[in-house]
Amino acid sequence: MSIAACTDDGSKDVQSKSKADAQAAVQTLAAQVAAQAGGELTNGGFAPAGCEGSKDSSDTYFMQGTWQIPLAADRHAATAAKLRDSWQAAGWTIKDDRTVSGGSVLTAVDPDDFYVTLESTAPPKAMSLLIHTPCFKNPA
Amino acid sequence: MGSAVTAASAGFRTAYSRNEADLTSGTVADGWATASAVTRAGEAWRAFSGELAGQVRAFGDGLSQSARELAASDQASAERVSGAGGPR
Amino acid sequence: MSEITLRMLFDVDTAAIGRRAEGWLRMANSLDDACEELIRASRDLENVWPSGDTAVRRSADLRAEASNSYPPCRRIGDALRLHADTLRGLQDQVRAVAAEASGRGFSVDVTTGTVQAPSHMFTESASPQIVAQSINAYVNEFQAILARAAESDASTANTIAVNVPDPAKGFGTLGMPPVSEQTLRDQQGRTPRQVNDWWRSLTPEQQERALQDHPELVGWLDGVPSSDRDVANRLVLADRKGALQTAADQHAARLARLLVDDPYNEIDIQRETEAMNAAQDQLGKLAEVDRALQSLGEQGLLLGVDPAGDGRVVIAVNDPDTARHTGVWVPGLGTTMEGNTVGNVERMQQLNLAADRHTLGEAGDVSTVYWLGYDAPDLNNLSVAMEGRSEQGGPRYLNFMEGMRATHDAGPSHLVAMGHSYGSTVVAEAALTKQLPVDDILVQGSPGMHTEHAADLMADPRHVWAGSAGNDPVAETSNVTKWTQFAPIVGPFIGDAYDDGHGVSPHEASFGANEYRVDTSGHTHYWEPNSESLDNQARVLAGQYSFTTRVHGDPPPDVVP
Repeated sequence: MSIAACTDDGSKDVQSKSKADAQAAVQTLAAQVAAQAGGELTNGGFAPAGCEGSKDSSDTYFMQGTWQIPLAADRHAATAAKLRDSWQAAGWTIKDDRTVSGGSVLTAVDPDDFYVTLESTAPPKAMSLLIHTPCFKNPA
Repeated sequence: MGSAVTAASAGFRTAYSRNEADLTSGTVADGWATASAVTRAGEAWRAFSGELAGQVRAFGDGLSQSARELAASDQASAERVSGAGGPR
Repeated sequence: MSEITLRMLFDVDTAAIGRRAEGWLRMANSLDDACEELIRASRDLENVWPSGDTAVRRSADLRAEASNSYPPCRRIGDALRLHADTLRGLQDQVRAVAAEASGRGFSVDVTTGTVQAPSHMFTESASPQIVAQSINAYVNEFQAILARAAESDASTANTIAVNVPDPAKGFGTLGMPPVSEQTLRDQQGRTPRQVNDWWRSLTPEQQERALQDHPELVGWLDGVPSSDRDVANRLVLADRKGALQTAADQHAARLARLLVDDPYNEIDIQRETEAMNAAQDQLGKLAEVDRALQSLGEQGLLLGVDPAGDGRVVIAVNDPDTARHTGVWVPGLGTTMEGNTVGNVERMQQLNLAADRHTLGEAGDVSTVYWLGYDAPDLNNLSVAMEGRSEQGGPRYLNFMEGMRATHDAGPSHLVAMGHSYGSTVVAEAALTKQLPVDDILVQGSPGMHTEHAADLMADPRHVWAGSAGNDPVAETSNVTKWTQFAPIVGPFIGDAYDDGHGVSPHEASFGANEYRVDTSGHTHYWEPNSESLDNQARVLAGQYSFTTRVHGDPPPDVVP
């Protein structure tokens, strides 16, 4: 898992990055995904959290961003398929790719270890987007 | 404090006005006792909530006014004291 | 009063009466809010107003008059709601009687209440008298229905009339008597629904006084709305911190004096040391609660706090009374108030975030509640009787969940019981009573649920969800060796304590629950962000069952928003 670096084994180096920079990186990626999906980012929010093994997010942390991209229900499956193909071509690893009765699910990890999940909301008038960074260290 | 009380008065007025459309909606004299009772109740509550809001606002305004007068008289006393050469 | 006819009953628009009811109830809530604002704004008047006798009296009068208006307004709304429901039921009954009569060949005019038999029925029947009796019986049934409609109409009109303000005096300025401590204690023996009805019958000023005078009682009272419990418990938190700090300082000062003046008085020195440590121990627990609340900011509600003994605490992420989906989670083995509150609340935050993104619309329509309302078994305490603990925890949890149902605002609510490890047995104890009012049961790393069949927990076992990591030792209690590795001291004891140790694990297909996929490792990592473990829990919590990934089982239909 991408958050293996966050476990407290301390065996891996954790990159240093300010929360503001991490948030900006997540925002940029979200805008790209929304453009690929052909929709707009709405209901956005950010939530940093401490990495596993950290007491809180003041030392090591990861940044999460969530949005909803309004999209008609009948476009979810095709949109997920289109994004899967273009992400694969860009060297992302596809972790989950399903269509179920409630809609579609697509999860992938990009080469920078950013985790991206797109999933139909209830009711399926939008797809929710979750982007999650790897573990970062706050610059001293 | 006076201004906060005055601000609270709006809530009593809007409690009625925001829901006015539903309180007696579609009530017609159709023979049901409930229909005429709810129509009378709507009128009484409109008058009551307006009156209550007015009283709360008047009270809040009064508090603000007293506070200003109090501050002014404090200021005047202070000036009188300082005019007399200040506290010894 | 004019007579109610079948045509009137048939024509009356019950939906419109329902809308009126909601209008009056909304007005009551707005009055309640306005009263709270007025009470807050004028609370400190007597302290800051120098010559304020008149102003203070006027303020008290106004607060009483405003507060007195809330219950009558709500009573009108309640009466109208009951009237709408009653008439709707009576309309259905009219239709049912008419359908039955038509089915037997009678011709029925429901608008006039006329029942007629075709002439051939008299001639063909062996006993025309029976036909006539049948007609009479139907007519009597219609009359009885009409009598009940008239009764409902009269009592509703009366309730409305007696709750109309006097044109000159309104509802008076006589404040209602404050709620006594005894009255509050009496509520503890009542159902959360009854408590809620009672709380709602109080004026806002009575509620405010009860909160201020007896916050430790109101704070734990299931059936009191969450936002009011939050106010009470934050008062308790501040009061307890102040009192404990004073006690700790006093013991420290006495100890310091003893050490100088009477250094060989070992008994007193030990007593003061223990008392100081006990106060500091409780302060430590409350500091942890403070930290958890700070991390939540406005999202947090403190629904219970008590640092005595092992400590109990209940913290909600978002208001469960307004949320569309609410999950109430019981932690497991070895949970302490001092050591785990922040971490466990973070788990609830992670789950909340993961579930909230599934629901369209505003943030905050998912609430996750951390419930340590019982003494979780202590891993370091050999004397712990674990079965006893879950049997104690079960009823308390059940009562809390009934409270969640009672305090939820109008509108649909999807309520999920959640438990980790030993916490899942507390949930099970509550569910086995068949009274637990939840839509789903969701457990992680469960050692067993005191039954061999998920259907004993939920009528539809597809709404029972269990997940465990492959290397979670607790989820495999049948293997006592693994228990021993997990907790070397109590391993064999735990094996004995769980009757499930040799029963059916909730993760076995024969148990009948859905087993969701878990991709995290060990007993304590089910809430890792962006894990399948967390996502699957979030999907169940958001009622998005079809999105779950499962080891076995079939999902029920998704919750329709």
